[in-house]
Amino acid sequence: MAEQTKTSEEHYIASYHNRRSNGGKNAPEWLRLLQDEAIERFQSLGFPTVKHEEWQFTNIAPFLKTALAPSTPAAANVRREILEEFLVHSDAPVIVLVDGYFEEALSSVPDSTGIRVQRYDAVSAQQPSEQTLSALAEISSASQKNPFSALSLALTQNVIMIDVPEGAQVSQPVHVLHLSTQTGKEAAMVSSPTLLVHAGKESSLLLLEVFTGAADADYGVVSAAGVVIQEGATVDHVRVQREGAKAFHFGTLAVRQERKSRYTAFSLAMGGSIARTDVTIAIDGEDCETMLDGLYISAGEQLVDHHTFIDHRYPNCSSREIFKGIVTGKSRAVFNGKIYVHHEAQGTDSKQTNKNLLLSNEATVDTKPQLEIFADDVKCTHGATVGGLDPAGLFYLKSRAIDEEAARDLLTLGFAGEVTAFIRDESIRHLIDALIVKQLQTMVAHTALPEIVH
Amino acid sequence: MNDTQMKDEYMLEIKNLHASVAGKEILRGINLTVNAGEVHAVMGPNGSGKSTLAQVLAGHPSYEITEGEVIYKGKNLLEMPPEERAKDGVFLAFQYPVEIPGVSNSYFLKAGLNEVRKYRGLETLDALQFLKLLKEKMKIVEMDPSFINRPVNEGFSGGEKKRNEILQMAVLEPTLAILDETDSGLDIDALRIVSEGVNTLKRPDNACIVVTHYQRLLNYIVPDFVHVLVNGRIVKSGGKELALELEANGYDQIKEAATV
Repeated sequence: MAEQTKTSEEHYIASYHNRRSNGGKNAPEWLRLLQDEAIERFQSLGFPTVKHEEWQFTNIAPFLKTALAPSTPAAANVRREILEEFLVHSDAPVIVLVDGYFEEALSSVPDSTGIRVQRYDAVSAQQPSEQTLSALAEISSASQKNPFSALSLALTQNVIMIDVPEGAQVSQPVHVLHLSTQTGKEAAMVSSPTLLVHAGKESSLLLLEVFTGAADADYGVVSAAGVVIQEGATVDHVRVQREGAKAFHFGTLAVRQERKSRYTAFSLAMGGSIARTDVTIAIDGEDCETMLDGLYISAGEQLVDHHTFIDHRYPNCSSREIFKGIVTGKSRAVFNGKIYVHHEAQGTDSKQTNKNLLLSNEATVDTKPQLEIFADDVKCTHGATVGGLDPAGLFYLKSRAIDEEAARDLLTLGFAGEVTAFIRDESIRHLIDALIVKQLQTMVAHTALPEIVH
Repeated sequence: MNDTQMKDEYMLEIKNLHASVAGKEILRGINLTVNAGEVHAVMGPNGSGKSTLAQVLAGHPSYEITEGEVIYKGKNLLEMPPEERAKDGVFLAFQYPVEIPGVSNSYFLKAGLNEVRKYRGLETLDALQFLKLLKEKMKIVEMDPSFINRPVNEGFSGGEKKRNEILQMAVLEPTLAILDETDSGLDIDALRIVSEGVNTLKRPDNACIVVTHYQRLLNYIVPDFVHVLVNGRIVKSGGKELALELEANGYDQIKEAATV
């Protein structure tokens, strides 16, 4: 087992150095220096085992057995139709990365959107802006503890930066689509896209980030996103993880909020064989508001894991976290939500809830809410539940002429709809609801699954 | 007149019904017949089995039927699953309506109504047709249109939940409505609105069983028959005046008589 882990680490380190010595495809010098540091950190951290507290429920052995090669630019053109399913409307501003590489032909962000998009890679070797470095610092900070964050930064093919200028109000949802195309016949590959977001003072941004890939392909995504929200700015961030059924997904999301800022995130996770997302939100100023919500759906032998950390460092901030899970088959869902309230963070108002709908006897949920409070004037609550469909609700629906199967579906969709209701943008909410219905349809194989109605 | 014809004439015939929950016998031989066009009141002290009778008729899975039978429109009601009973016109207005988070009131009602319509051989209604019908029905119980899109019963007050039950009854147009302590927790205005709703829905071809602890509701919904349930048995039946008698003398006299 230990030997396996070692081999696997050496494999990725060797991949890194191979690419590094193969000059032509390299990143700009400043990025390369960061990546050298990142691979060293990865080397010293090593891949985690279930002996690590943060990974005790998440056995990554199947990932370690699959030696993934860093992805190369896709040979074939990707048809735009593949993406349409994830677009709120067909002319929405969209940034597409295929196997981790920026895909210019499929991307389009008109100037009227109000954002600046920068890319840092071998093609576009410009110097980083101050904003870029500040967002990158969040990923660097996450990589101090998380080997996947370090690996992601080391292996990244492209750094994409979304810069929202001071005072800009971006009302159009900006789409960032990560598509993995490697089919099962070729060598299994890993892509490592890096997304940076910097929202300037008093600006606002609506962001829809999607991870998806071929259903039957063996591939991996080790991604990282760094988000900085300056004073008075708002970022609404909706993330969809619908990787292919055999994929590995390890995602890092590191956010820093300055005073009076607002961050609302919704995460829909339903793909991958092993899918783990680590979210860190550093509250770095007074009067911030944070809403971190999500829904995970797991079936078959999937493992879906969310580790979140909200770090209250300043007074008078509020955070709300509601994660729900629909867990069936032989799948396993893990939720670990840590809220840390520093001594200085008086007046913190924090609420965390994790509710799980367990639809099969063979499925497992491990939920671990953690509240650590060092301030005395705070309002903090947390709770977790794991259970089946409410029998009283089922009887009530049946007593109104609704068949058993339809009643179960309705309660399940209601369970999901309760949390998607928090998505403020209506068009994105519709999109998310539709994706959920589609996923549940394939899981429960009911053809007449109704819609989610709010 | 032979047996078969007899059965067809009753809408509901309960014969020697015994039911238990978790091994404890609650109903201990209920006999009751209900015809189309009738309103029956079932009264009794707490714990007499009134609500159990209501739930058993609707098909609640927690109860075990140990003896007896229930014939509804000539069919063995106890063999039908709850959804089948509902499609065939049995409706229970719950004493404690259930909250269904994330499911809107209108979606829930439309799903139920369309199942009933399919069963009756009628065309299903689309969203617009249904909304029109729902708005009409909401007037009967004086419900605010904002309740259309709220999750079923979630955050409703006690009175709003009971009104919502009568709204569902108005939409589904049952043959046999069973109102389980619909008056409990209602103030006088809500009581009037709910009762008027029930009276509006009364037709020669449907029937109603009103389960209640108090006579108060029967000032508004006037029964043709009153039955007193004590210890899982009907110990006395009579006309509407029996309810007044109970109100004046309480249940104690009847209880004593029943235990002799």
